[in-house]
Amino acid sequence: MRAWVLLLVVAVAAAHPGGAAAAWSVARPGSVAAKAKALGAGNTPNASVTGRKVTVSWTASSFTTGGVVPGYVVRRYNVTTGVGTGALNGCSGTITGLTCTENSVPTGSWQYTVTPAAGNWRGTESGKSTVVVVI
Amino acid sequence: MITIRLSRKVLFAFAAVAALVATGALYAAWSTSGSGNGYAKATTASALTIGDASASTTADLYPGATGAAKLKVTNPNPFPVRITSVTKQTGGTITSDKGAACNASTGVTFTDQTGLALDVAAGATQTFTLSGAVSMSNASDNTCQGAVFTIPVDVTGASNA
Repeated sequence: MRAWVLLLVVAVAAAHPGGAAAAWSVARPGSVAAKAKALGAGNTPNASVTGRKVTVSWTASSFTTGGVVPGYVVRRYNVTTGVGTGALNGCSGTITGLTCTENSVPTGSWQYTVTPAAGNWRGTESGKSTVVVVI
Repeated sequence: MITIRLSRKVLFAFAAVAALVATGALYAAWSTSGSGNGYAKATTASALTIGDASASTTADLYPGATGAAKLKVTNPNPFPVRITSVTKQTGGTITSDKGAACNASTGVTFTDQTGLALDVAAGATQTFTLSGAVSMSNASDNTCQGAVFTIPVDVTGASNA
């Protein structure tokens, strides 16, 4: 009878190799490292006017370490006052393409810029476009 | 029916060995923890060293993207070790080299890595790339551009002799 009990112990031990594996491994504290990209500068856009619509287009910008940026923010500057504001009505927010058309632009003389954007990140704003006049 | 006859001494010895194996006591000699017990007979194992891998990072994170984490491990033991998992420390805080504004909102998350088979030779130092282990949300602060992030982890390994 005792022999059968011993054989049962042997069988159970052999069937649970996980118990040995669990005691075999060990955890060590430490750290891993990761790195973020950085946005580059925007390229000076072109701007053309048709009535009160202004179409702005530009070429793609890159991260400083390579790779095309995912979006752009477009701003419009009043040539007379120099005050800038975010473009509206078709060019607001983050634009993922390389062109947009701002509708219902107020009367005046305007210049546009584009700034690379990714989430809350912003790159260097481009130079200003040629002046467009909305009558 | 086949009958196997074994002496009681043999059976007791067999059972005792099986019990030690089941509890891992016999494996303590090969553990990298260096904390053996009364059953250890082999060379005492030394702890793995997790080094600074920041110099080997490649910039690949930006809001909305995933990237790789780098892990640098030194194995001071005279036997090879296999890394099987890398998990973020509970309550651990991810920090950057860009200061408070970035640290307050890195937007970085680490996905625990399990089922790994990263081998470190005896006495070697090796740097591993954990592809896709890190992601960045749109919450990342603007000052995090170009940052190197330090992510506290627990590295689990075992003798691979």
